[in-house]
Amino acid sequence: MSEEGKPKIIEECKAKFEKRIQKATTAEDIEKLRIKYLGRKGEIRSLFGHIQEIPPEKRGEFGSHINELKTYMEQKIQSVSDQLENFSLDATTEKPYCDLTLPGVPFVMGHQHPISQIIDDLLDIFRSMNFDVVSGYEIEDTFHNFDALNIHQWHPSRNPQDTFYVDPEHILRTQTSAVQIRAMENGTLPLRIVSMGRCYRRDASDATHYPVFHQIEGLVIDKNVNFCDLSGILTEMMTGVFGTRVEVRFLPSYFPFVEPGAETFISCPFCGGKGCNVCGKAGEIELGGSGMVHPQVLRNVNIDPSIYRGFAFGWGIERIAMMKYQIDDIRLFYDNNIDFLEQF
Amino acid sequence: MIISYGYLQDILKKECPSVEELTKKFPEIGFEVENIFLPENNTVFTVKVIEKTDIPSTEHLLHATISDGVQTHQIVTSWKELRVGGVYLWAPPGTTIGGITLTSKDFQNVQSEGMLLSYVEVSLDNTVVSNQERLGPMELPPDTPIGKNFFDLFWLSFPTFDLKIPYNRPDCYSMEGLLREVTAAFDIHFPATDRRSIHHIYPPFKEVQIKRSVRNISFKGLKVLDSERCPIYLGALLGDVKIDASPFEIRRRLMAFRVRPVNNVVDCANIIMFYYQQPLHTFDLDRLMGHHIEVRTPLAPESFDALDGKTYTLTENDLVIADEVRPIAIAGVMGSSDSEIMDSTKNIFLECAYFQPKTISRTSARLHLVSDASSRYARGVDYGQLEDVMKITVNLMSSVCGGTIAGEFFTHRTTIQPPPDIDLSLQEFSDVTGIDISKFQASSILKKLEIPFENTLRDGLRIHPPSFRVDLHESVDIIEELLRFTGYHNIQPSKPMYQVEYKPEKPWIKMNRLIRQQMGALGFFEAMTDSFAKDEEVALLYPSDTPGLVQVENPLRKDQSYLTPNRILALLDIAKKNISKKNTNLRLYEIGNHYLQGENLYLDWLITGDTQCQTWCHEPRTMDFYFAKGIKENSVLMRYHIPFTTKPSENHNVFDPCQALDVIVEDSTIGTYGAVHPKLLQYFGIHQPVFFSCMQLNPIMKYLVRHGHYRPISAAQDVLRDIAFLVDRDIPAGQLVKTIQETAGYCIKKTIIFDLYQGKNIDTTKKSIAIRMMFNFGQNKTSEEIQEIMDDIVQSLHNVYNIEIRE
Repeated sequence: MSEEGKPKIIEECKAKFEKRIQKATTAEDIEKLRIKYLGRKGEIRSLFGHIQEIPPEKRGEFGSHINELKTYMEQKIQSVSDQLENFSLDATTEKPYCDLTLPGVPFVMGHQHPISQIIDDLLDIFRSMNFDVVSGYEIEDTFHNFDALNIHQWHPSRNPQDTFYVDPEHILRTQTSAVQIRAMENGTLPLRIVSMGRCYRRDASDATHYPVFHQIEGLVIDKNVNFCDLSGILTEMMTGVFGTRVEVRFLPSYFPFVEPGAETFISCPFCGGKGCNVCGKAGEIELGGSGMVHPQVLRNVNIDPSIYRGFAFGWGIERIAMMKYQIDDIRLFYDNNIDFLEQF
Repeated sequence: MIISYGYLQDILKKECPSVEELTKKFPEIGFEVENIFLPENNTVFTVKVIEKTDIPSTEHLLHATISDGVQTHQIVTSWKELRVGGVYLWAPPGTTIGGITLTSKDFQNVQSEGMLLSYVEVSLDNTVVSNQERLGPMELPPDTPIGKNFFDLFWLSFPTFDLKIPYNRPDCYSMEGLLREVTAAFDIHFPATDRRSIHHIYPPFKEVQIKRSVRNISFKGLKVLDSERCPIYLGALLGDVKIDASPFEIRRRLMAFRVRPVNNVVDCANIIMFYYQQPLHTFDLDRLMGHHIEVRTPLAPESFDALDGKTYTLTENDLVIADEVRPIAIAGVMGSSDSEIMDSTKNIFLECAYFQPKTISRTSARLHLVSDASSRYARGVDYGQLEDVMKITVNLMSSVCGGTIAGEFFTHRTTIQPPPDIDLSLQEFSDVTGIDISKFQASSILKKLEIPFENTLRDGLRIHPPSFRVDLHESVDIIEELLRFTGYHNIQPSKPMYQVEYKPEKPWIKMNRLIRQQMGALGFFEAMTDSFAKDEEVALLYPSDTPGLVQVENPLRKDQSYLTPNRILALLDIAKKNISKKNTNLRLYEIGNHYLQGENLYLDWLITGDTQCQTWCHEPRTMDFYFAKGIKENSVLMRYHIPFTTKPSENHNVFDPCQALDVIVEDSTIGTYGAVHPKLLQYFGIHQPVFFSCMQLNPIMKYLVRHGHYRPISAAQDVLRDIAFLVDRDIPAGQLVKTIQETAGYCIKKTIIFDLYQGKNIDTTKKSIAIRMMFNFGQNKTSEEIQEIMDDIVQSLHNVYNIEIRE
């Protein structure tokens, strides 16, 4: 028995193992060592064979010493093996040359049109504010596009110079408000809706006009809403679109379907109102019309304006996109040049 | 509406706000500043020609002596039409005109000091000069003060505002109306009586005695035959008028309003309109036929030669002013060329009327004829001021257009119902705007705007809309007025309170979102096109009698009148443009309507070029029908488990007859895909194969928005087996696969045709085909059991198609 009380035979076995493992330099050496000591016919197994030679009362202690050694060996082999493996993974210098600057396989990734990206953003924003989304037809009748919105029969915007007519009673919608009229006719109150889509105005195309454009319209009809609430909703919306807190400002303006009506501005999201190239040094950006729904519009769809009030806004999505991406020509959206589309 | 700051300052004197204050204030009270014309200035003076003599040795030059009131100067000019006594513009030596600095010059011993100027040389817009002035020297009225700086004298050295007047505020299509707003906004005390003084349009005005009858004029009177369309019509006769150019004070106001001078009578009428809003019309009485004027509906259809040189056809929806024979004006819109005031005119009939706005806007819109008068009448003029304006006009014309004027008035008047009173509660104001207002604040705003009211309500005011405010109908209109003057900047963001409820994503939005995701993952770029199609291109695809084609009545371009029945036209156009820019490998898609039998939402896509460009490790592979088929079937259709079949397409206008399939879902054809017809490509000038797919979205929406149920995954191993055989070349591969699937039944997971060969070493009537099958039997099977199934498959193929197994 040794000083620590371990049988000599075990001590010798451990000492030999230590010597050998120090010499092991390859995974192969380690594997041989593992088989020699831990294998089915290995040294540990043979140590257990010596148990017959031990007095019965000491057999338990002997066995536990062997198990201890076995565990030690297993750990040692594993740790040396890990060291060797790491060493061999690190030894890259000996591998064949690989030019890492060669380009990878050029997968083509698709791109969503910037307008539809803004539409998606707006849909997200308004769903988060618990609005419903409604859709309608692009060929609309003149009642829903004009009359119901207080745009009387001889209003200049109904002029064929400004509006595309399919026949005297049908036009290509000039705004998505027509959708809202239908929603008010069919919907249950209160109403919180947005609609988005293609609209048409008979504008010859230039850097800021195109006969087709997209519009987002919002409408809230409830018993207890006011102009300040409109301001709140618009602030949230534009903060969402530009990802930076903006302030909404109104100036009085006339639209037949809202009263009071307003032209709506936001503080420039790029300079925070100090004035920059995007806002033309104005510190703010004009976005479009908004206001409190005209009581006559409510009467037109059989809603009692003495009980319900509403607010509405309708803005061009192209304009928002042009601001967000700092695009200076609306026609780029409809040219569909790949060099343009792949930027978004 | 053009507002000259110089003119405004002339009226408001010391009280006039600064240009900066006005620039800020106008939009705050609802008048967008569309433009500010910057001031102009130069050392250009008004001078009078005292004497002119021809220079004998030249044919085209003359020598003139001019006076600036203090000294005389000599100049040599080529303007033969120069009048002695006339007032012109003179630039002394040292002045820079058009980049050239003038000096004294010697013309054959005559010293020429500076030069006389034309309107171009003082950078005047040609719309503010008379026809005569456009051709020669800029001649100013003879009473123009001389020796003065021209730009200062005519207020051109001040900025000028171009304001956008809201459609519902016709009262502000006038200096007087805007003055009311400006003085209200800046709290300037300037009562209506001062504001409406005739001296603001003609300071030298002195009242003349107007006689009540006109000698030698056999005019009998006025007949208004349509009182509904013409509720008020005032007429006056002015005899012995002297037609001339307008005096200086009128001329500089015309220039301030950017109006071209015509003659003193017309200029007076114009100045009145721009100052007081009320349009006027003047007729040459001696050129009228018969002895009275009628206001009537046209004897439809009646043709009319207007002042603008065009002939219009009038209908019973219009209104005309007529003599006993023919119309002499389209009421409220435009007069005729054969009744207008000419240099020889002696006697005038002056019209001051109120026409029904609807009638004027209808006529103006129908004829596409907008005049200064029609744009005011159409919005509604102030019928309450007609008598006053008539009196001012007659006074002004009497004062300006000669000495022996006599007047006689004719009146047709029906009662116009005044708008009903409006009760406004202060609570309603705060309910609508979200901000509070006191009764005192509200009253003082209304007072400043000259909107009469009674303070008889406990919580509000009773408003009597004045005749000049055609926009005030109900309480919200008053609320807007109060908000305008308390300031829209007081609107602060708040959050509406509402009951939150779950709002599911709309199926069409979900569908669009999923499709966009899929197409993006497949490398497609989303395009957006307008919805118009060229007639010629539509004709390529659809005969003109195709039912359901949609045409626009008034297209922007005559050759582009259709709404697109198929977006392939737009997508090919985009492809062509991109290919010309060397972007030859394209994958484009669009979600949009096709207009054929109404509007139908489609997913359209187009591919062309290589599936992948050549790189150091890849050979290029050109897109072909099977690539298109892979996209078509694997993306939306199979991804969302939409049961579909295909059959060869007969749409041979769009597609290559050999390479196109219709897609059928629930027994209806929902779309087609395949190679674009070479003829169509040739038309678009595209010289590489293009593959196109169109698919209606509404029929498949339900498949995209539903969700399926989990099927347990088999624990057994998948088994692969290959089979290769010869078969008659005409037998479609699809049928072979179908037979295999039917024979193997549920246990077959996948079949892949991994080799197909025709040619050398094979009978020319045969093809060799190799198919890999993947089975899963739900439990592990022995090789012998699997072989039994393979034997069954081979047997079926042999029985049906007489295949020959290849070893």
